[in-house]
Amino acid sequence: MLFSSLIFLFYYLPVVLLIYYITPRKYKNIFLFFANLIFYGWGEPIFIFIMLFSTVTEYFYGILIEKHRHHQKTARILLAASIVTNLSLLGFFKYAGFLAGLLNMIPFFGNIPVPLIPLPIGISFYTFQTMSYAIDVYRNDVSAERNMISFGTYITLFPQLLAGPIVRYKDIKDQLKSRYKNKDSRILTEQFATGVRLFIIGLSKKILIADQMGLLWNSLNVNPHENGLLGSWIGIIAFAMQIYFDFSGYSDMACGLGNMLGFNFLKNFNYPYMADSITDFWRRWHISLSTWFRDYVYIPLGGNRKGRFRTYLNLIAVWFLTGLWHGASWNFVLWGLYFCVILITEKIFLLKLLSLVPTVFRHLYAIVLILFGWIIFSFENISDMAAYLLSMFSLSGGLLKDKSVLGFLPLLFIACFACLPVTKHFYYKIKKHTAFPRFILLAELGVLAVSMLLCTSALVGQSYHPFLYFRF
Amino acid sequence: MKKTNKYELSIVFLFCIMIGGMFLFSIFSGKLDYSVYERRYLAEFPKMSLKTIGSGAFGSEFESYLSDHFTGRSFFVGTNAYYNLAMGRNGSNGIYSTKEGYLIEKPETDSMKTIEKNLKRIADFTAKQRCKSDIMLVPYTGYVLNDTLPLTAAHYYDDKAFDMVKSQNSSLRLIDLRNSFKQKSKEEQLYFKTDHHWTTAGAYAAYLEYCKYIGVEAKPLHYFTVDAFPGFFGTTYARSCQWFSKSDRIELWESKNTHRMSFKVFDDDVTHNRLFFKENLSGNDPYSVFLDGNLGFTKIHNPDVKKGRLLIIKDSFAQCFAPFLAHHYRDIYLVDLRHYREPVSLILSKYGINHILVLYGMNTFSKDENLTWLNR
Repeated sequence: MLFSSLIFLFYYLPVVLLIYYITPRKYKNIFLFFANLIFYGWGEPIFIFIMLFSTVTEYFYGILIEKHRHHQKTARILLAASIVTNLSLLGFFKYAGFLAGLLNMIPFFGNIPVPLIPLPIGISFYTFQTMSYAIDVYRNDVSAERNMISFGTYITLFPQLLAGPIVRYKDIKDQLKSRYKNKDSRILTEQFATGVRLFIIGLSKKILIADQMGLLWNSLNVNPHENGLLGSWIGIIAFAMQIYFDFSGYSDMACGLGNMLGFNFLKNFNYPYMADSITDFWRRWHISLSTWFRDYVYIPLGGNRKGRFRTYLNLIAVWFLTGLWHGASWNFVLWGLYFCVILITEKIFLLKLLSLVPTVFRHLYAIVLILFGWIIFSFENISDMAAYLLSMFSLSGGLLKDKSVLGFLPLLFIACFACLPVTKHFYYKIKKHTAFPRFILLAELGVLAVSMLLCTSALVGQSYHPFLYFRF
Repeated sequence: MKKTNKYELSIVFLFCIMIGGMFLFSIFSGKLDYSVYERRYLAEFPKMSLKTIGSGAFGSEFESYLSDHFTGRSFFVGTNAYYNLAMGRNGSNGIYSTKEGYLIEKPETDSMKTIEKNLKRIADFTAKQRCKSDIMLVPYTGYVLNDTLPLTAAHYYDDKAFDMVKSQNSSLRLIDLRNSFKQKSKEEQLYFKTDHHWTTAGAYAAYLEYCKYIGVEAKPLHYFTVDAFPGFFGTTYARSCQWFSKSDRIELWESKNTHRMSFKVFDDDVTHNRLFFKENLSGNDPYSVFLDGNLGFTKIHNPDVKKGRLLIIKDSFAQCFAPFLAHHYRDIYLVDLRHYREPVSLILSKYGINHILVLYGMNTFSKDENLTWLNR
């Protein structure tokens, strides 16, 4: 089930919220657990079992690791087993094809058939959540969860199940048990209202901006030599908009839904296109993933405490994996390593150089590098990638071929504007200083209602299929 | 303190009313089976079994069912259409909206191959049958009214298509409507605003051109009495979802002669003594007032004319055109290859026809593969 679907918005969500609020506190988690399963199983009923398997095994690993924590060796073996289990699941479902392709390159193995295995949705997210749990228990950062329902609810929590943010058990543990304790109705109402705002903002980001930018990008990435120079640049900007608004929109919806259920999740995006360096960019983009790799790969490998050479090696390993996490294809690895090289360069001297340059140029520098990064990210085939790159620098196709691209320009400008925190600052400033709170309230209600209307209209519009009328 | 609470509470209320309200509406509102505008049957409630739920099929079919039967569907698709228009995406659903109130279909993409194939099929057929053959392609509305289209409009390839016809077979005579239509459209409404077809005035303009080609004196305007029927919303209206657009009028041009013509439907072996089926005007497809819509094999018989037999191989455009041409032929046979599968050559031999007119709208001609049945 997707958040941006009629069935979620107007069937699942109202029913789940209603029952959730009627349910007495001590049963809320159990209900939530079943609601999570229905959410997940709606699209992929079979894969529920894989998720449940991962959950149950991790639950037991957690308890066992804690039990044997003082026996370093035993604990280590258990931790290794947990990680291997998770990575095997991930490896099998997500990377089997990739690995087979890899092996086929070695003449010894010859022609292993490349299996086509369906990918269970969210597996990249929940396996990372379970792994973080096991590692945290091993490190004694958190005590193991004894209540299987609470643990299950955590792993399967529907807001972040499909697209993050990656929530660590230690960040949510207290909330699982006592998110309603010591909170009066005023605070809960505020939290719910914040959730509503976040959710509607996220929904609008996804439907009104991301999906439309996706249409624009799809019209420009098929035959790049027919785009015209301007067309190709518009295309990659459209993709940059699509992926940001899609991903951050989903994260916003996840946080908003979490709020509605009494949880507070950490922000996953912080206006990434406002970055003035690549280092800055990765502090703003998919924050839960980069911090995951930092805490569970980079630091265990030694971080930057083992000398320069080792630091670089560690960085390469982390970015190799970060790239690979995004997709089972070499271009994603290339994408990760691309940023790795830039990051190392920035670390060595570039950041200092940049600090001498006017702000505008720093931002320009970052944006251009990010855009080229997206080109690497969006073409799995190297020759397609090269063809697109070429079209961005050659005038052989003129400036702009397809005039319908112009129709997207207003929305493209709005999207670029929405990458800036301008609206947010404006909103908070007005709220703070206004003498007319009622007017502000009406305006806010109006904006939220209109956004919901436009999003719903777009969703219904997608289902409108007039019969081919040439028969008439 | 209390003020803050009321503020936040209103936001919570709004949200709950929106999602809860739509939920209740959906459950308790009636369900239609058929969508008039989309001309299709709406999704049925999917089968609920362990198998369908297990495979996920139930889930996805249920979503189609939900969206098809969503309460206030036409309101939402209309809102979406106008929103896209406001955002500068004129043509987002395949229909361009002009200031003059025209809803114009986008040109087909990748059409040249099919046009070439169709031309070859016709050329092969006429060569084999050794009969006089003319071809009349009705240009796209968007081609003729090109100046009124939005900036972002795609290019209409009519010129390329016509060039292809000209360069093809010399035995196939082209009746080129482009210039006369471009001229006339400045003063008259040759195409519907809410439909992809031409108006009766447009068909008459084509009739004038055809008469010029065959060297016959066309019946003048005052020969006909015009009966106008307002409130027509056609195909482009349905597709555009711009519900506030103004409707068209369907005009029936009848002469004293028209009243004496008869219309035979070979498929049912029924002969009507009229060409226009006014009862269709209030139905789902008002354009079928002309010759009762798309039928496979039909004939217009004009007792006032001594001789002349013509076969029109057609799509829906000819239904509006043939009643004019019938003033000059005793029998006009009409074949729609989308609904007729018998060998057309048999019609030629059985009824002694040696003159063919191929009449298609540019859109259909660029997509239709049924002309392959010609050469059975």
